[in-house]
This record gives sequence, structure tokens and C-alpha cells, in this order.
Amino acid sequence: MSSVLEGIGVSCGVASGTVILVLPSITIERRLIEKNESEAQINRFKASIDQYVQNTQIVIEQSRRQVSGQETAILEAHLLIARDPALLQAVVQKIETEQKCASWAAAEVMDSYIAMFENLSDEYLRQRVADITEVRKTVLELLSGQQSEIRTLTHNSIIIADDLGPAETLSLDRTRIAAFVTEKGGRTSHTSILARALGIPAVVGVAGIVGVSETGMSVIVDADKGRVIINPTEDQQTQYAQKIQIAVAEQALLKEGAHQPGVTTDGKKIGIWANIGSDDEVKVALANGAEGIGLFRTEFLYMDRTELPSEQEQEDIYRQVLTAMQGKPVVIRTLDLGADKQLSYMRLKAEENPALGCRAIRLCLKEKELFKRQVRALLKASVCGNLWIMFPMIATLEELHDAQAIVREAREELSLAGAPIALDIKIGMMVEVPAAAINADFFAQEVDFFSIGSNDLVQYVFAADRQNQNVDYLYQPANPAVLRLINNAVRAAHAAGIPVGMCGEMAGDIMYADLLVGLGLDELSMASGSILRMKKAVRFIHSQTASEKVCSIISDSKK
Amino acid sequence: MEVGKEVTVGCPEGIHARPAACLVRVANEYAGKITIHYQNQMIDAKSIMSILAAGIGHGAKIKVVVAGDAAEPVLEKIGQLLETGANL
Repeated sequence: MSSVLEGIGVSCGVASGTVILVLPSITIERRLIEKNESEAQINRFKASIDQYVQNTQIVIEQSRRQVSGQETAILEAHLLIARDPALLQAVVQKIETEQKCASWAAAEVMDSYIAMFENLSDEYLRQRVADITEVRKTVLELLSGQQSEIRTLTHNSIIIADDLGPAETLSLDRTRIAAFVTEKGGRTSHTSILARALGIPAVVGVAGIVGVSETGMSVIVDADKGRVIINPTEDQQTQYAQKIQIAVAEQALLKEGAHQPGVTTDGKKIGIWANIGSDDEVKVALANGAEGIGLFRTEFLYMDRTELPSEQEQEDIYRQVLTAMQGKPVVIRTLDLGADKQLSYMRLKAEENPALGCRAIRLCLKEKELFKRQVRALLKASVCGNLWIMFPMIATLEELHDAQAIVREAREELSLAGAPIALDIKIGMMVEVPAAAINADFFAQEVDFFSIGSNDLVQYVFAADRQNQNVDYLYQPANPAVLRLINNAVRAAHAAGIPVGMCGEMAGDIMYADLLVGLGLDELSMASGSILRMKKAVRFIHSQTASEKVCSIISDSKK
Repeated sequence: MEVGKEVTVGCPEGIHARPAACLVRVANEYAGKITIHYQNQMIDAKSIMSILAAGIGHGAKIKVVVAGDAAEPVLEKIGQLLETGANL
């Protein structure tokens, strides 16, 4: 039977494909067994390890062809753990003497290893916790029969999940995903951002979707209407097949204008730049006509791995991106991590309120070595292109000065060591904390550029968690409260003679194109999938008229 | 047959990280039993977790014992691996 569910469409387009249901963490069976059952339980455990080893070897084989040696090394470490004779012995003993079933015994043994490694003072060993946790999860999945099937994507896979974290989305084979559907999440959750970067449809906040979906079902995702159809009827299939064809044709048409600039009807050029989350997205950005990178989210470099990236490793990636962009501006945002974007190997303390907690520049100014390592890598890579360094979450001048001081220190150290550094690196900041938007004139004197982070700005102005779909209605980027702050930042920037752009989700939404042009933003940075539409939208705007419209909205609200 | 040998750990960071993984890989290729005697512990060289947990540092004096067929060349290989820290 077909069922239609509604949610929030967070990117454009329609897709049809096969459901891959990604299950949340499984429940572990905890059962005491009869004495005569222990052999069977031991065999179950052994079989799950064999299965794990076999699966992992297949993945290693496949990924040798596709990805870096680094990732295969991690998988090989997982193999060593799974095959560890001490592990087997301990599990067997638990089953035999404590009469616990295989899942229970395995979970307890692995937990004891995790606890042991967590308590060691040695950094390397503490990092192994992530490896053991991963093995634990997969082996317990195998034992319970509730295996997450995320690794077995086929073409036109449509990922359905309760929620997807950044690390989980990163581990997916992106080329095979046709759409995302999540039960939780809002317009600016990670899934939404990734979907737009990949230019594929996504619907989030779909209540009840996990309950009615099963892997292998056929499904249609209509992100334009925020609709998901499980087991569509033949009529629905035909209707959507047409829609998909039209969308493909439209995309091809848009692409013809990709390499023309975004210029308004009265001749004002608006820079259309791309947001990227990894070096491999540069190609897509350029193919869509990006004139610069307006936001490179470097935290993805730090995620989905077992230890901090080395300075050299970071430098190499920054060099690649700068080189690929051939002198076009590349805005690299320094690390934006916090309790909501965790690293398995760097256990940040859980916070009551991560969005308002110790994150981004606040964390970096506490973890100065971590921050400096990134800054050094950036400075060393600077000779490869047009580097703009951007600090996130700046709220006070003091924070800005502290961050700038670290850049100065790093520069001096590197110069002494004889490393070449570009002379014309721009240092700027995100305007996303309301305090910075309000005091924009102070900040504009001290930086080379502004970039408005609309996601956080809107969230903080409305005091509404952007991941919480119950308050999704408060995501109101066009509300005069937000427009006034943006206006304030733009005026301050232009008075100081520095450029100001925007890199939040608002910047890529054609619904706001005339407002953004009217506000006077010099550059809009967005997911690569939005560039074509936005360029086209800009070409229909008269900037003078748009500016008058903005003025009237802002002053109307004064009454 | 069982053969043993005293070894001073030469890997710069001890039997750790890559050397530990390397040791386990070599040990796994051998059908017999390989044990490391360190302080008062007897550690199974095929168990990555036991080796890591033992925390054998640079310069530690250990004894490697290999039991099984053709034990000599295996002992030689492992001894060299741990003494020189090379070829890891």
C-alpha cells in the first residue's frame, strides 16, 4: 500500500529509488542462558566475528581502489581488534562462567576494553577507543541481526534515517545516493546542508517515516513539495517519472549559463561562490560556475578518523583547494567544533547547550596548540592561491585580537624557519553572533572582510535551536530583525571599505535573492547545487529596486 | 620446539601504535604460540589489545618465546623487528 508523508523539503528536486533504512543504535540482548546453551552462544559469537572479518576484508579490497591508504589502515586496525584472541577468550569465559548470552558477553568485554583504554594517560591508546567502539557496534549488529545496511548502497539509493550525523553522512558513497529523508532535523541540519552541496533532494522532519519504511521498498522523494511517497502506485510513478525528466532537462538548460557572471539588470555584479566541506567538492563547485570558495568548512578534515590531522596533512589539502581554484578567492574557515560536532578522539565535555557553549573560536582560543597547527598549515599553503582566513563565532574584539595574535605568532615562527608565506592573505570573520552584527562598525576597522553566517545568526536572533523541528517556524531569515542586523553589518563593512558576503543557507535560497542583492551583499556563497539557479535569479534582479524594497521593509517595521 | 630470547625494545616509542600492529601481523602469520614476557606479565603476541595495554616502552627488557614448528626464524624476525624498530 502506498503511503504519503509530509516533511520539510530542504533542497530542490525529485528522485525515485530504493529505500536504504539506516537504523539507530541497536538494543543489546541481555539474557541469562542455560548451561547447555553456552556452546551455541560461543559459536554465534565466533560466527559474527567471521562475518565481520569477511565483510571488512571486502570493504578493504573495494576501498583500496577508491580511497586513501589512511582509511584502509583504520579498517585493518579494526580487523586486528576483531580477531584478537584475548577478546575471544574473554567472551567465551563470560558465556561459560557467567551464563550470559553472546551479545551481552561481547558488549561487556568490549566495554571493559573501552574503559581500560579510556583511563590510560597515553594519547594514542585513548584514540583506539574509537576503533573498539566501531568494532563493538558492528559485531553487536551482526549478533542481533539488525545490521545497518548503509555500506551496501546501490544506484538510486534513498537514505531514510531517524537522523544522520556528519560522520555518518561522510561515510556514505555519495555518488550512489539519490535522496535523503530523515525523521528529525531542520533546514540547516547536516543532512540538509550535504544534500544541497550534492544537489540532491532531501526532505527532513518527516514524522513516522522510519516506522513505515523498510530497506528495499521503492520510494519517491519530492523535495519541492516536502513529500515522501513510500511504495508509490503506478500512477504516481508515471507522474513523477515525467517530473524527474523535466527537472533533468531544466538543469541542463541552467548549466549553459554556468560560466557567465551573476550580474543584475542594472549592471551590479554579485559574486556567486561555493560552500564546500571537503577538497573533493571543488570540482563540482567549478563545474557549476563558482567564482570563489566562500566557505570551506575545515572541521570535516578532523572528523571520521581516529586522530588529529597532522599539520602536513592539512597543508596538503589546503594547497590542493587553493591550487584548484587558480587564484580565485578561497575563504577557509578555521575549526568550528563544539559539543554538537564531536570528535571521537578528542572528547569534548558534553554541554547543556552546545550551540551556546564552548565551540568554534572559543574552543580554539582554549586549545591554542590545535588552533595554531591549523593556522600554520594555512599560512604555509597560502603561496598556492588567494587565501582568505576566516574566524567563526567571533563575539568580542578581544576574541578577534587573540585569534589575530596567534596568526601573527605563527607567521613569525614560520618566517624565522624560512617558510615562504603569501603577503596578501586576507583575515576576516564570520558575523553570526548578534553581538558582532550589532557592533559591526567596531569589527570592520580590524578585519579584511565579513561573511555573514545566516544559519547561526537567525538561530541566535530568534533563540530557536535550528535542529529542533518543533521551532522550525522560527527560522525566519527574512524577518526585519535579521535584515536589520545584516544591513548594519553591510553598511559597516562598506564604510570601512571591506567586502561583505554571506555563507549561510539563506545565501543560496533564490526566494531571498532580491533581498540579499538589495541589502548590498557583495558575494553570496552557497551549496554548489544552488549556484546555477542563483546566478539565473540574480540576472533578473534590478539592484536599485531591490534596495528600495529592503529599505521599506526595514523602516516599515519601525512603525 | 620452544625457543626464547632476551630483547631490548628499540622502537622509538616502544611497542606501540604501528610497531604493535606490525608485531601482531607477523605473529598471526605463524601457526605456533608467541609470548612476550614483560615484567611479570605473559602477553600473547597475537593479541593487539593485550600488547597495547601492556605499555612496553622504549628500552624495555623483554623476553620473546616462540613455541611451535620452525620457531627459530620466527624468533629471529620478531627479535629484529623489536630491537631495531626498522621495517615497520
